[in-house]
Amino acid sequence: MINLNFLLKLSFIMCVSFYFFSFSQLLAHPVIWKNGTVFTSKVSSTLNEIRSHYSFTRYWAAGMHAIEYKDTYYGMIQNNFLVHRWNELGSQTNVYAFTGFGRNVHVTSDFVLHLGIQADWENRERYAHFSVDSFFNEASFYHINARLGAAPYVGKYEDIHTWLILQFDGVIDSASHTFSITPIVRLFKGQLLVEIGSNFGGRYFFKSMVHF
Amino acid sequence: MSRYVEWMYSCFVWMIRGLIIGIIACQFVFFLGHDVHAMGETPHEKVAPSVSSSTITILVKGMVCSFCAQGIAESFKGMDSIQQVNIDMDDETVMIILKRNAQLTDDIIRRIINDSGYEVSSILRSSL
Repeated sequence: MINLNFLLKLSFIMCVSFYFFSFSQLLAHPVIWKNGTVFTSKVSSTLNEIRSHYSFTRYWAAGMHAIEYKDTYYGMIQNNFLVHRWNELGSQTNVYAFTGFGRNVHVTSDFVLHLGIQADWENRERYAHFSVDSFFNEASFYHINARLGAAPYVGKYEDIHTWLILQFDGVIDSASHTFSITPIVRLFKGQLLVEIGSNFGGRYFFKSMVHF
Repeated sequence: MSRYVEWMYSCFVWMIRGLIIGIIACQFVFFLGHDVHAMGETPHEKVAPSVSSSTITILVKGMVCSFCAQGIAESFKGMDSIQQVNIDMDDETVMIILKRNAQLTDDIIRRIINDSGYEVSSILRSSL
C-alpha cells in the first residue's frame, strides 16, 4: 500500500529532477490559463522552493510545493486560487490565495500548513507585488515579499523582455528574523522566465519558471 | 525590551493568521459559487450560420504581459480551425486567421480568452 511518506518523497524527487533537467526554470502567476502547467523554482539566501502546478480552471491550480528553510525540508500538496482579477485595457490586477498541507520530509510527525496571499498589479512598464506566506508547524515561519519593478523598454510579444525589480524580503520565525532588499533582473521570452538578484552583501536570489 | 519584541511578534502572527484565514475563507465562498460548473469543459468549434470571415481581430483587456499571454496563443493553436495566431502587445490584440471554410463563433472566442485569464473587449471580423 502506498503511504503518504512515499508519495511526498516521490513528489519531491520528481520536482527536484525536473528542476535540474529543465535548466532551472522560474515563476510568475500562481494560476495560469486553463489546462496550463507551470514549474517554478526559487533559490535564495533564506528560502529555497520548488513548485509545480496544473491549472484546472482559470481560478484554481493544484500541485506540489517543496520548500527548504534552515536545513529543514517540507513537501506539500498545494492549492492556488485566483480570488479576483481586474482586467483593464493596459493593466491587470490580481489577488491570489494559497493553501498547502504536507510534512517534514525527514520527520514524519512534523506536519506543516501553508497559508498565503498575494496581490499584484502590472502594466507594460510598471509592476508591483506583495505577498505573505505563512508556514504553520512546531516552528512556524513567515515570509513577506514586496516588489516594485520597471521595464527599461517595452518589447513586442516575441522579444526578450527585461524588468528591473527592487525586492524587499522578510523571513520571520520565533527565534530570528531576516530582512533584505535585493535588486533583481527579470528576463523572459516565450515560455521561460528567469530572475537573478544580489544585494552584493551576502544576499542572493535566483528564480526560474517554465509553463506550457 | 525582549517582552515587548515577543508581544510584537505575537501580534504580528495573529494579525497575519487572521488576515490570511479571512481572505481564504472569502475566496472559498467565491470559488465554490463561481467556476466549479466550468471545470472540465472544453470549447467546441461550432458552426455559426452568420459567421463567414477568415480573419478575426480580438481586443483583449488585461493582456499586458507576453509571458502570460502565451496561454491565448496555446489555446487557439490547439484548435483545428485556426491557421495562424498573431499577438500584438502594443495594440493588445489577438489576430487569428482561420483555415479555408472554417468558422469560429464569438462565444467560443470569448470562452477561450476567459479561460486564458483575460476578457474580450471587442471582436472584429474581416475577409482576406
